[in-house]
Formats: sequence, structure tokens, C-alpha cells
Amino acid sequence: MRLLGYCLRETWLGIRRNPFLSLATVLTAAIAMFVLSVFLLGAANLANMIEFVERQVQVSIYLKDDVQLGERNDILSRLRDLEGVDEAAFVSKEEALARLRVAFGDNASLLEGIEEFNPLRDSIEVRVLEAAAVDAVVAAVKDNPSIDDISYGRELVARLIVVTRSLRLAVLGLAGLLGLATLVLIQNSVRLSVFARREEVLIMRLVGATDGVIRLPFVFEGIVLSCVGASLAAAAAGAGYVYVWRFAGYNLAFLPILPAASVMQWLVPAVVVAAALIGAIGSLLALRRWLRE
Amino acid sequence: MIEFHGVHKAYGKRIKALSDVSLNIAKGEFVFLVGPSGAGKSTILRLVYAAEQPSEGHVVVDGRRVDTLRAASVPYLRRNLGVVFQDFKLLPRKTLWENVAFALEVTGARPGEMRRRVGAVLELVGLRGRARAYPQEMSGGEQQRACLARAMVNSPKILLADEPTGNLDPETGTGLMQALWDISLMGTTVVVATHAHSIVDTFRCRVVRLDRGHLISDSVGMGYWGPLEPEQDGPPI
Repeated sequence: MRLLGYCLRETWLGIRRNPFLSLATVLTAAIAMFVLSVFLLGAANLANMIEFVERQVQVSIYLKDDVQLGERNDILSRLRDLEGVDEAAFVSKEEALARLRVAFGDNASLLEGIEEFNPLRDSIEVRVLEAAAVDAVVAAVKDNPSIDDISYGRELVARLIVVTRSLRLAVLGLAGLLGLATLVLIQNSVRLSVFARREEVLIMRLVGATDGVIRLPFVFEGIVLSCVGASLAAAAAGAGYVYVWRFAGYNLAFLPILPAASVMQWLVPAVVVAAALIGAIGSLLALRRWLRE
Repeated sequence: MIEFHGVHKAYGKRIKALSDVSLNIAKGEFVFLVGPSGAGKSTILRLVYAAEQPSEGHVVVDGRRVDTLRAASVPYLRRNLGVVFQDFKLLPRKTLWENVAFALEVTGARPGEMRRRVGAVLELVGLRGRARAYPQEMSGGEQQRACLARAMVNSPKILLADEPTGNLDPETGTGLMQALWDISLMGTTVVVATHAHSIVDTFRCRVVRLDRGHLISDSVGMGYWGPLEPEQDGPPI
């Protein structure tokens, strides 16, 4: 407990006695975490758009005319139990015709008289959470004798799967690279601070301080400075996002942009926690050399 | 208290800092390690406080094999040792009091105990009145005594001094050596590496002489040049 008090006091003294280095670390962390925040905001919205597009994928399963209610419900419940299925709903041929009439709009008169010989079929419409679930839906029903035909944009879905997978992988890879770059930037900044106090580290070792006691003030310092920088970054990125969100709300209403409030709920803690981790790891890496000698 | 058994220390294949050094220093003894630059004096001290590991042989300090000590145990060994350096190694942004208290603080000493010990050790080295001074406000002699105070504050069993008078005028150097001698009289083992002939000759205690990593003489009361004939290996007249 006494040692913890000592470490906290040394953290504060370390920051106060090296104001320029501390400011440099805060600014480095702020810039690095701002870039990371902007990337995270972009990535979250991209993920949301991918999800939005994937939810548009629909499988229409056309039933034969003589399918009984029990059989139909059986198919419906089997589909709803599948992983990745958002919704499965029965659409009667009368309902399908009504939709067609709405779709025809002013030309609905073309459909007059068709009710008596409705050529449309009863169907089940399945909405999926992601494009990759389509294969499972098709596999689950294709051999069922009650099924007449299955319709979905086979090629479109296949292409969508490739594109969304590639996009997700690219986002993950970029996030990893950016995280690594942030770590290197912050570590370099902390390293300067450690270098300025290398004599102190050497003396601490000589008088019998354990590695833990030597490390803690530097680790705390790295965490505090990185978190201050990250808070500034999150605030700036958040303010910018609110502006973009409002602008898009008025001018690009068709784009499914995530609401600012919900984004900030996870962005601030995520960026600050990431900064704390990066600050701590950066300090440990920066100290390694001086503790090895 | 300190034992060297057939110790060799090499840096790479070409530089041999110590060759087959065997040495025994008893509790409370005052020993000078003498020899020219590069003789291996500092290497012996660094082996004692585990800043180096021997290439061959082994080193025992206070009953513990230093060469086989785990890295995590080294700080606990060093709490029983005090080290005084030629360049003082005081922290410029800490006052004299803070510099000395630092050695206790990092070991988790109680505040009351810390105040008592720091006060006592500053009294011992005659710097009680300078407690609030920063190193740059102190003379070389005061800084060296501050370094001695920091080395002594843990009441170490062994005190190591590496060229402690190197940056001091002869009078201040003798004063510092007298302080080290007084400390050894209180039961602390003191090992001083130096090439200051006059000081070694003044004290007339045990002198271990090294040359290019070899221990060439070990004598008591015979001064810097020990038992070797001056004509053979003596000082220039």
C-alpha cells in the first residue's frame, strides 16, 4: 500500500517535472487515437451498411398448389429455426396479387380480371441476417416435395458474400495495423520520457527497488497521459461525427448512418480503454531496455 | 562476507577483465582495490552487486551465491549493499533529503522509520543542515557525502565505493575516506576501488592489487605498492 502511494506520487511528479514530454505524449496519443476513432466510426458505419445491404437479400420459396396448412407451418418453423434467418413469412397468392397491384400503381387496371385466374403462387418469403445464410435456407427446403421453386439472386448473393467478407477482413486488418501504429507512436513518446529519467531507473535498481516498483510509475504515467490524449481525441471525433450525422440526416437520408448518441456510447469507452492498454504496453516496452542492463 | 573463487570475466572473446581471481573479504574488513585503469577493480565491485555475472568461477556475498541468483532476487541482495560512485549519481530534481530517502522509499519503508533513518545518516555524514539543498547547489565533497548517505541509509552490511575520491580535491578526498573508515569500524565491510596512492598509503590497511585482470598482491599495512619490490614494479621516482 505504501509502495502504491509512492508509485502514484512518482507518477504525478514524473508528469509535473517533465511538462513538455508529458504534453508531447498527450498530443501524440490524441492525434493517434483521433485517427483510430475516425477509422472506428467509419468501420462501424461500413459494417452497418453491409448489414443493411445483406438484410435486403430475400429468398422466395414458391409452394405447390396443394400444400396443406400443417405442411406449410412445418416448413415455416423449420426455416425460422435456421441460424442467420431473420424472418420467414407466408405470402398467399391473393396477397402477392395485392402487392403487384400496388407496384403497378396507375397501371393497376392492367390486372383487372386476373383475380379469377390468379396465376401467382403461394410463397414463403425469408429474410436473412447475412448473405451467407442463403445457402442454408436453400439447402433446408430444396428437396421438399411441397416446394415448386426457389428464387433468389444466386449470382448477386454470391458476389455480395465475397464483397462483404473482403470488406470485413480489410477493416479488421486495417484496425490491427492502425492499433499497432498507435502503439509504436505512443511507445516512442513514452520512451523519450523514460530516457530522460534513465539515471533514476539505474539508481532505483542499485538501491534494491524491484522491477515492479520501477515499472509502476512509468506504467501509470503512460496510462494517464494516453487516456488524457484519448479523451481529447474521442471528444473531437465525437463532435465531428455529430456534425456529419446531422448533415447526412438532411442531405443523404437514404444512407443508413448510425445515430450519434449510440455511437458515442461505445466509442468513448473503447478509445479510452484502448489508449490505457496501449499506454501501459508502450511504457513496459520502453522500460525493457533499462531493466535488462 | 565476500568470496571470489577462481573468477574469470570476459567481454566477448578478446577482452578479459578478470583472470582467475580468488579473494576472501571478512565481515567488518576495510579493503582497498588498487591498480591502474582497466585493472579490473570496477568489475570486481560490479560482480559483488550483481550488475555482472562471472564468465567462470563463482562469487559469494553474505553467504549467497551471486552468480546463480535469480533476477528477481537481485534487488533483495542489493538492499544489503551500499554503493558510492565517482560521479555521485544523485538525482538533480530531488533535494538531498529526497535523494537519500529515495533508497528507503522504493523498498516500502514506513514514513516514520524513513524520517528517523535519513535524519541519522545525514547527521553521520555532516549534512543535516543541507537537507533541502539540490545536488547542483552542493559542492563536490557534499555531493559525495550525500551519495555516501544514500548508500548507508539502508544500514548495509557491505559498502562498495568505486573511485569515490576521483572528483574531489585531496583534502576532501581524505575526509571522505576517513568517513568510510569510521563506517567500517561500526562493523560494515568496506571495499574501495581507487588509484589514489597517497590516500591508500595514509590508511595502511589491506590492499588488493590488480593488473590487467590479475590479482598480483594482497597485503595488509604495506601501502599501495604492497610487497612487490619497488625496483621491479614500483612507482616512478
